[in-house]
Amino acid sequence: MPIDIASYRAWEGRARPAPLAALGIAATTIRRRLRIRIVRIIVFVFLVVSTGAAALVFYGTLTGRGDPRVQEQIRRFGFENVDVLAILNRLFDIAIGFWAFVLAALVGAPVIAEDRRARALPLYFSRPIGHIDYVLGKAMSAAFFLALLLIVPRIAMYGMDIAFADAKGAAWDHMPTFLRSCAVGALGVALFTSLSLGVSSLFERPAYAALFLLGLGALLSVTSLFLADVLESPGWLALSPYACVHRIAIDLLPVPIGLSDDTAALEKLGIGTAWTGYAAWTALGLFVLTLRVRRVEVVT
Amino acid sequence: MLTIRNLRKAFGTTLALEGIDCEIGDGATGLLGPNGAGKTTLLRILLGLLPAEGEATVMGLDPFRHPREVRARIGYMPESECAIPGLFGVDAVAYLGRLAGMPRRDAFKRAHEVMYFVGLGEERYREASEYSTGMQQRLKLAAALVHDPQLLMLDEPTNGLDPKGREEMLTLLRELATEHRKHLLLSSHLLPDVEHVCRNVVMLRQGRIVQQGPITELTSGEKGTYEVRVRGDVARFTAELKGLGGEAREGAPGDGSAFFVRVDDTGAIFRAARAAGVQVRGLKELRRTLENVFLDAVEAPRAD
Repeated sequence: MPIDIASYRAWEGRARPAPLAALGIAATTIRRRLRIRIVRIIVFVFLVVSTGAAALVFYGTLTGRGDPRVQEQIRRFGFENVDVLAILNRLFDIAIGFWAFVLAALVGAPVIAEDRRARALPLYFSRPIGHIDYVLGKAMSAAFFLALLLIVPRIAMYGMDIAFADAKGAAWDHMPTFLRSCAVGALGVALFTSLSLGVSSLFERPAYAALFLLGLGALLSVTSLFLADVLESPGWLALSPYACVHRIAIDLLPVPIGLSDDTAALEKLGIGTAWTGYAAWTALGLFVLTLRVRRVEVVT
Repeated sequence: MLTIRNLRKAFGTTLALEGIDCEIGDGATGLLGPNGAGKTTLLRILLGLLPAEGEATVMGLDPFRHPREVRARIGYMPESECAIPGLFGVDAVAYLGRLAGMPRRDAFKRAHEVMYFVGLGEERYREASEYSTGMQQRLKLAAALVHDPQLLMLDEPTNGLDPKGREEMLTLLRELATEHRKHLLLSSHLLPDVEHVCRNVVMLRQGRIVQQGPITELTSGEKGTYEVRVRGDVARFTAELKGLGGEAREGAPGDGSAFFVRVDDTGAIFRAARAAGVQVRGLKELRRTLENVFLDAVEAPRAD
């Protein structure tokens, strides 16, 4: 039907409050983010492709299927009869920590700040949606990008693990490790989503929100290491959100060999303290987010 | 359309609205008041965005209990400059249509239609954040209209518009009210805007209603009062008029041949003129302007 440009025309349908409004908000926010070239490049090219390729190369080297020289190297490093998938995931966690913060700053920190700057909140809340829909929609959009970094590569690694495995039934045998690995990824997604949106709700300029989040991450990491070292109390490591999630990852994905000094140091942080720190940081982000969105909406 | 009973809203110790009692019927109604009178607060309460004491119904629904249902039936145009960042104009309108509960396909189709209706047809595929102030006002109107609501709440819709843009916006609003039978609640501090579009008006001052009713009634002045201009013996005319039960008083502008007359029946004026042998050169009902009504209302001392 052609567009009627002559005059106003009534709509025959009937608007009903959308039960899944959060999904619509998330989809549109993701689309808006993907219009930014740098986001596209980092998310799809640099992060997903490079981590996938690195995992593939590492996996191939580690298993060295059919190559006796590589098998001998592996044995000399004590990697025989270990859970290769768990090692991969652990290395991935170590490598990805910094990038998770960068990505959170890039895709999570601006989403509410830019709405505040454009004064879009009155437009949102004049529709039949609630604060929960808005917050959930924005959180899902940030979580989508973070999942590309923190969960999708784990799925890829599991796929490669099965593809390269000699033994039949590897898919089932390695499923527990895979699920634990995904749980670690999901915890990271929840933490960084909550923190980035909480910070985002404090600012009107997306760049300031992103810089603040990066600065906060760096500051907390340095401060926690410094205090833990000076006060000789590893509990201070829980000041760093990344340390908390990494410590939980060590607990969820036990690997019978030490991979780095980082891991050894982190293992001194009690798992209970790590979970407490994790819950506190995630809750703090959500609390700030909910409070700010409600307040901003009321006074706008 | 809207019923409000004893509405009260305070922000901390600041009283924003108190004792708001009114019924707003169909058609276009202006919400007039100086800045800070509580107009925007009242609109936000009616949208179910702010809690308040008292009762209110919007199209039969309680905005405090069913805010989503109320908002699904209302098109709201906020006062401030606002846009969904990073979207084309038509995408932003369609997006807001979908958030209002429209199916995706309908939302896009309607978005194109209303963009043409508000005069942004050629600008649909420009980023909304690049629009001029006038275009953003039109875009906000398109967003308010996309789900074809019965009631439109418009908060200062001509803010920041040049005279031509303002005239065009008011014409659109008037067309919506008269030809498309939309109910409008137009909040403004600009009297000509309200006069141009609305039939009824509610005037607010410091959070209270100080005057309300149809504009024609509010501006009609005292019933049976006329400005009469005569040529001839004025003293004899006024005496004859008094004999017929009328009353004349000075004060009309001019050279003294004009004065105000209060009679029950205009025929008395002509009978008095014939009896006094004077010529009636002018006769018009005394009307007050909306500005007079507004100034009287907002400048009158408060009862409390």
